[in-house]
Amino acid sequence: MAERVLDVRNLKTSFHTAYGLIPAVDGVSFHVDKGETLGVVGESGCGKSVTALSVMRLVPEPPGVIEQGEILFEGKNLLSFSEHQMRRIRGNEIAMIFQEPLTSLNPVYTIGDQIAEAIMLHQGLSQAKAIGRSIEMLRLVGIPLPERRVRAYPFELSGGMRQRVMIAMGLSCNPSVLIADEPTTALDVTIQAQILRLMRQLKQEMGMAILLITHDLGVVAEMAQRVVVMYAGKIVEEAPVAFLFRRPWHPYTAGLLASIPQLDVERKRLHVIKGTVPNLADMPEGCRFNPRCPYADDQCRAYEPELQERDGRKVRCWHPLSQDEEGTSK
Amino acid sequence: MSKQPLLRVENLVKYHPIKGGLFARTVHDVKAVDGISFDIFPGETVGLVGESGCGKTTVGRTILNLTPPTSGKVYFEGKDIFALDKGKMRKLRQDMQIVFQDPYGSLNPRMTVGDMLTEVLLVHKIVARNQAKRRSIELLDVVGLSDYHIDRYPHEFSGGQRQRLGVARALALRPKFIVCDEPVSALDVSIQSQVLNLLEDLQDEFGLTYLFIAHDLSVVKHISDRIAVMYLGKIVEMTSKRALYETPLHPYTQALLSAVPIANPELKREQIILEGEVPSPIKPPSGCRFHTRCAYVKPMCRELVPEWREVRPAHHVACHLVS
Repeated sequence: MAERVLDVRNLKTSFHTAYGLIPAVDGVSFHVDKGETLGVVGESGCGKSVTALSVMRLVPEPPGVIEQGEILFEGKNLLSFSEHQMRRIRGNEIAMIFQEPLTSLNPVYTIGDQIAEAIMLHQGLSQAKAIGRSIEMLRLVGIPLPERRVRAYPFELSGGMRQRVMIAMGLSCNPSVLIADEPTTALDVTIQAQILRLMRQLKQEMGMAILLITHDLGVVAEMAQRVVVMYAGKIVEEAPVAFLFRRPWHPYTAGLLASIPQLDVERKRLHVIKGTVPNLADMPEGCRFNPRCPYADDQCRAYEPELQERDGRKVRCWHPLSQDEEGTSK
Repeated sequence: MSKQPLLRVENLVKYHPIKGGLFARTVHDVKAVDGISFDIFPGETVGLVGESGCGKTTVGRTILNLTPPTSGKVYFEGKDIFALDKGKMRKLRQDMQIVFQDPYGSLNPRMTVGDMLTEVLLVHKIVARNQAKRRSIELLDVVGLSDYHIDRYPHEFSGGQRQRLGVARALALRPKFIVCDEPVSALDVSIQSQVLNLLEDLQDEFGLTYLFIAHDLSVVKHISDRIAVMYLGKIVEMTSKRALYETPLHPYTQALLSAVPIANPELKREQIILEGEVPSPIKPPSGCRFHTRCAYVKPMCRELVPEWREVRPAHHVACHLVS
């Protein structure tokens, strides 16, 4: 069996708001194996970023609070760690890259200083050696003239270059897990293709696990081995990537796949998931997707389904689409 | 198509000056749009795609005369719009409208939906004052909102609903032509399809003509009849959607198409991944602007600007290597 690097169990992260304590992530469990890319997809507000921040213990407390659950990293529960212990994990064992590389970099330090800081802190190298290692990392992520760029400030670099710097920083201490939160959303497609290729190569070379958070189903299809679909703070479906795209079980996943325009398929009209994502403070009774689901019945409106496991997949639905006859779509 | 074009763009150029020095003289120009020509026919949707900084938004704004061009002509129904005086231009604006990308930034937060729509209607004297509210409610209905939304403020709406408001405002003047500048880029996937379907329905219902500007090739392919691909201020290829996606001729179009991630994990394909980045539009490369990143570059590409040619019926390309 593959080695589990990260195992999140029943995570619940809530926020104190004017409407009381509202769960943004509500009982989420998943795991990532060594050398695997797990994709987490969902629309804005479904809790995917809060999940990532919870794993890093970066949810601002208050207003946030991790109410329950376990985050096992190599068997140790990160939620029982002190802030001091956590600092040794962050950036060293588990690294994170964010969507907006400009706001995640410090504008008044050179990129070399910023990469070297983490290396000096975690690996105990001298400054000269750390800068040398920074140059190596910049070369690894494909930045031209790294000896020169190491002295550049973030504003001197383009968006794609900044994201490469973020990746270089994230990987500088050889983490076992890389959390990438919408790493290419702010980038153009040709630059996105470069960054995704880079992430695939580096994963192969360094054997780390990647938790890839994105709303782009195309990116997931190209990068992930397994996919978790989130909706309104809960996992609604989990499956190996090929199965999920070939035959989604949850009506939400099926709706999402049918509503994106695709380059390789000609669609007369796009499918529409009616309505919008529910407000976290005002969740519908029963299944959270029921007001938008074309197959919802009384059972769905009254009782919330559990995440059920079958054939190596999981789905949270009273009437999963898998029960259909082959070839007919419900 | 042998019809008269609704909109004809001829050799349009727009430079944004960069001022500097003691006397604020123009020291450089950002060559945002550098000599582009195309036609849009009544009832069709022309997609304009390209990466950030290629000048596609500037094209949209310049052909509506929201920003004056550096040179070139735009004809709307045969009229040279840059030659019109202010009053006539304002009259013409009724026919040409725009929907912006940012549904948050393009609505006045202090005006209710009703105020916003009636203001448009009254300024352009579309309806009498006592009819304005009724017409506003009709507009909300057309874009799929309800009459009780009329007294609400923009912050009370979701992103998708706000984009519907932007569409309602554009429709208020019964335009013939709408520039849609990245209208769904800020929306979630499930909301994006709602707005795209709405735009298509409205086109059928009111016979609208669209210039649809976007960076997402899948979205552009879905909605457009013909597509123009821009790179660094120039259109490099323009043809029907089918020809563009099945037989792209320009190396940039080919690379752009192959870079789009496809939501099918079992599809195996060769990706062309471009190296490097888009050069600066202040000092675009000599010759063909794409030559610094092109895999097929020949010596002539570095020196000669490729001509804009019709290489196949209704298929225009600017590339030396396409015959």
